[in-house]
Amino acid sequence: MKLGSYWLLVLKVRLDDGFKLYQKVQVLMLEIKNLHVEVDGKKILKGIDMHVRAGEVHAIMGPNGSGKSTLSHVLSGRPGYEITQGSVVYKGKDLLAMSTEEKACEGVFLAFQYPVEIPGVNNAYFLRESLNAIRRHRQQPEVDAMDFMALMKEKLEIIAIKKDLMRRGVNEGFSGGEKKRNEIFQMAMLEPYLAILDETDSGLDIDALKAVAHGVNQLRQPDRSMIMVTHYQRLLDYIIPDVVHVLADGKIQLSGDKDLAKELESRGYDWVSAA
Amino acid sequence: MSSEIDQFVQKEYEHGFVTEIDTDTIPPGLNEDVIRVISQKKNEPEFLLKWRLKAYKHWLAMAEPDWAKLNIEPIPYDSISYYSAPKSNKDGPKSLDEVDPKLLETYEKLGIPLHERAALAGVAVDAVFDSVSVATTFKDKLSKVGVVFCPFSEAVQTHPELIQKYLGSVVPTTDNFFAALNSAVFSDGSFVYIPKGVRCPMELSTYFRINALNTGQFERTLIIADEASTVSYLEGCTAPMRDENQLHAAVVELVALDDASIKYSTVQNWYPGDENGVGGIYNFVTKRGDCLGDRARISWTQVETGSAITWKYPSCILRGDHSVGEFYSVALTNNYQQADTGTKMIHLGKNTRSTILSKGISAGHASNAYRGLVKIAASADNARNYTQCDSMLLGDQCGAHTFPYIEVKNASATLEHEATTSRISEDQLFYCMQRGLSEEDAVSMIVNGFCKEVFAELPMEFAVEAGKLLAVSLEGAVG
Amino acid sequence: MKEQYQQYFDQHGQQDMWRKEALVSFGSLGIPDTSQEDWRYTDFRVLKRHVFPVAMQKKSIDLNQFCLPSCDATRLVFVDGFFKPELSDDLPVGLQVVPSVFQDTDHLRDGIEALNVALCTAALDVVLSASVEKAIHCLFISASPDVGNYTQSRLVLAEGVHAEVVDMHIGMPNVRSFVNHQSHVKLGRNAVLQHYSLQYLQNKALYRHLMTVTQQEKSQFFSHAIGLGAAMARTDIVVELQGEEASCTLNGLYLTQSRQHMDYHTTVHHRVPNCESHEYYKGILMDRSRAVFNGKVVVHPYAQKTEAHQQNRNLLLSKKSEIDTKPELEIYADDVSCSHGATVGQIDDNQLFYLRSRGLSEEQAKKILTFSFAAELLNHMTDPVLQEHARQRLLQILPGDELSSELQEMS
Repeated sequence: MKLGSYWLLVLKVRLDDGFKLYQKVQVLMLEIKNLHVEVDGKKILKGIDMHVRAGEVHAIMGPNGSGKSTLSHVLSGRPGYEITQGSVVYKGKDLLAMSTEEKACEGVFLAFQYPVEIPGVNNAYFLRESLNAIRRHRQQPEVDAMDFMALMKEKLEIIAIKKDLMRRGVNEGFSGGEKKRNEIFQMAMLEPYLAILDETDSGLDIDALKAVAHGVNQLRQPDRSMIMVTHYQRLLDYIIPDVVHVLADGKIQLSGDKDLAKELESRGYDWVSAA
Repeated sequence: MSSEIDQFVQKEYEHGFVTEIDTDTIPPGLNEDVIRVISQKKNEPEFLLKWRLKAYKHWLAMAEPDWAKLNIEPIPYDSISYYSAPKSNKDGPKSLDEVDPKLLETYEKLGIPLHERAALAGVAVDAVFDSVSVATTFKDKLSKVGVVFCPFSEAVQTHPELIQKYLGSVVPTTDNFFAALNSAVFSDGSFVYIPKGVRCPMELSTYFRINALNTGQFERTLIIADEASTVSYLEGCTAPMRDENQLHAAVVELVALDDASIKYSTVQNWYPGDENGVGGIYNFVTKRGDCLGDRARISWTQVETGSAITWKYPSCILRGDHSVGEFYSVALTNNYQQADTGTKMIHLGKNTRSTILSKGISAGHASNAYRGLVKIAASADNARNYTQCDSMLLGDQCGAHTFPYIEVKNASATLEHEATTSRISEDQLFYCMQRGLSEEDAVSMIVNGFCKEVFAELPMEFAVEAGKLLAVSLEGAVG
Repeated sequence: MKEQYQQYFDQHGQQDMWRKEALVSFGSLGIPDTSQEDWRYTDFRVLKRHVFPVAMQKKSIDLNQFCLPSCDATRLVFVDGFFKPELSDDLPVGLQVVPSVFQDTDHLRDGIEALNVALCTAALDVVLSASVEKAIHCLFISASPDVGNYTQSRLVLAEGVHAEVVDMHIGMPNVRSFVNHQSHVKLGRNAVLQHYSLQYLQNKALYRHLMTVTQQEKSQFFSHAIGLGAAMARTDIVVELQGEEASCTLNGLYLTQSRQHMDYHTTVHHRVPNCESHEYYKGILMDRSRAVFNGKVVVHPYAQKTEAHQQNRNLLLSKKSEIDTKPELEIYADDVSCSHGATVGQIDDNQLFYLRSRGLSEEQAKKILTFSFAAELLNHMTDPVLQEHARQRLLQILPGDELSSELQEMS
């Protein structure tokens, strides 16, 4: 789907609400202010400031140990991180005050770097439970098995993931590529407002990377923002970001457009630290 | 994680109500006269009384087994009443219509399909209330194909020859302390006979319930599958909430002749005691099947979530050549529950096969042990066994143990035993919660996934029930 | 029985107080019988019928009659339970031979242990405060008939000390004797011990070895137990992991033939968090022999992040042989990774067919496959000389023609 036709669709759906939509596009999805995070007394993030508007795709790049994964874990509510300073406002609410599942229900989705295996728990069953938990939270009616299957079929086509994986346990025995694809598929099913893709490209060969990127691009829309955390520039060849941040030593050292990523690729991270 | 564990809301035992009903209970204590009274009340033939008295004499000389990993409060055998029957039932109900409506109500509360629900589910039910059998549904339909499914006491009257031939043939009166006690005082139970070549047209089912105070339940089940017959039998158990421990010492004997197949499933949900370990059922059960004939097959499936103490080792004697034994088990212990459960596979015949799949879940302060014996006798050429024991620990106050005994006296045997211990990882929980699930739901989902292979062996409607039971039993413990 | 030992004791034995106490304990504990869970598969009733007093005559021995590994090590020789300085190398610093090192009579496990404490004739006491370059080879030779060999050893390794210690038990053919040995190991922080327990006794010997090990922080214990001999042998290894990040590796190989009976009992106690234990025992059973493996791992409360893995694999080569294996797990902590496995099987028909289709006789093929089954374990031995020595012993025992050297290497 081209971006233009997507706009048409959105306009058709929300014709009566067009002005508000225009406003919404401008609206802040996520505002991180002076965020400091420690793990076991060690300072990892030392003052992050970031604004993500609805519909934008941000890339966070940085060398190993720069705090990229910490940022995505803090945003999605993984336990074990101590926030010592700063605030994170998501859609006008205090994100840091929410529990992990509240965040999920409010539309924050983390595509894991290492999706965990849950033996014996059927993938499709898991997703339905998850979808209904989110729908309950939003006071929407739960989807029954029939509707769910239909929805799943539709989304499976977008992501191009093998259907029989759905009958297996969650990520059980999946290849690295299948796990990552499953993450994007879950994102398509759960329709978050803010998706954080943590090193989604790691461990993927070029074909798998293209497929995953294609899936992500399908899911870009004006009321959904994405934060991609990545070490390498190559993912950004396929998912073009609006903004690129360079994270080093717990701080955003540089921000710019997609060309910044190219420059990084050729000059390396040392260049940023030196600057 | 343990602080999160504690956040769960304690859920009370669902089946913990007492039915107000007039009972005919004999005074507590055990002696030869009590046995005579029981036998007399049942109008038993002489051979059975003699058999009981012999068992009692043995029992007197025996000591409680102490090898299991269990802490058992002394059982006051003298203050237990060994017989309790609903009074209105003195002469035994002729049909469902004669059954005390209060009893029927009890079973309704338990969710047991005695009436129309039985018809819908297509399950024939024998219900044992305290010590006596109160109703057997679908008798007519079953008798058309020659299947006998009735209370044990009735079978004693109608099929004494089968009783005399097979009673105690699998579990001798001298087998163990609790089996000897049961043999002396058992009051009722279920009897099943499947004639040659008959595939039992429906699932057979027994529900056991202990109701009266200070009574023990000692039921006896005997299932005989004649040549080339097939039967699937379900057993469910509940008991009211009481502060005292109550004793349940049952014996189940299965006999499978040539080419016969018996599938025996149990969902055991006796009252487990409260969250401090007060009260609850002492469940000391001897279950054994004898694959007497060639190509016979006996399959045990159990979901054990109840009882303060479970001591139970459903076993298979693989006597016939090419016979098959299976044991699938989920045992969940929470709070102060203790379980020492497993199986024995005794390979005697040639080309016999056995499979053991055991899933133990331990939470709270509970202790959960798998104890199993695989024995390959010298005569058992080409015997095969595969055993898998997985334990899951929820919290750091509980214990999970594995005690497999493997004894091989024949070089052509092939055995594999695997055991693992795991817990729900923080990563798994975080993953589920990041997808919007509450911790409680996430835990219950993961535990159900852990038990999936065993649930797959249960009949459909039981599998669903077992899953729910697990979730309920876990509440108040998990993380 | 007690009276006979008492009589011997009063006349010849050393009269220390703890020895007397141990003898009293022997009287009350008795020889274990099969009604005890730990002894249900091993019946030492022969010890109830026969008294094995300490050797009265000092026998002279020519070491050349034994095929010994030619290691560059400090060799200490004990004959019939007595130390033989004339056959031994000079004792380096930190080593001494004393009448006894184990005098605790309060925690005796069984009568056999009590007997050892009461009657011990020679004990090696090793206290190392620095690593020694040469391995310590203790050669225990059972030479005289109808005597008991009551020996002990104590190995104390201070912080950071590395050492290799070998206990090798051999004997004269057709000598019915009783070898009753115990060893106690204490490993300080970061200490590393490679321990070899090589039981190569002759066909009539009775053997019991009790070994206890306590480990402090980050220490590493490697046990290599090989059992090829004796009529009846029982080994108990009890490891206590008491310091965090300590690890132990217990490897074992037992091969039994004729009417031999061999029993390995191991217990690993994980008492503190972050420790590891790995256990791998393999057995080959021939003729009418019987072997027992009982591996127990206990993860005590709060010993979180424990890694404990155990495997026991058995190859049955004869219809009349019997294996009883019991891998146990007792776990009281939730954040642990524990597993155990046991298998019993025969030579794989497909492999056998494959080798035969390449022109090997059935016997040769079986020998190769059996040898490779065992060799996998021998490969874990870090001392190449001992490894080769064990290989050769194994090959001598396995039936069939000699294998060509290439085939040996192949396995």
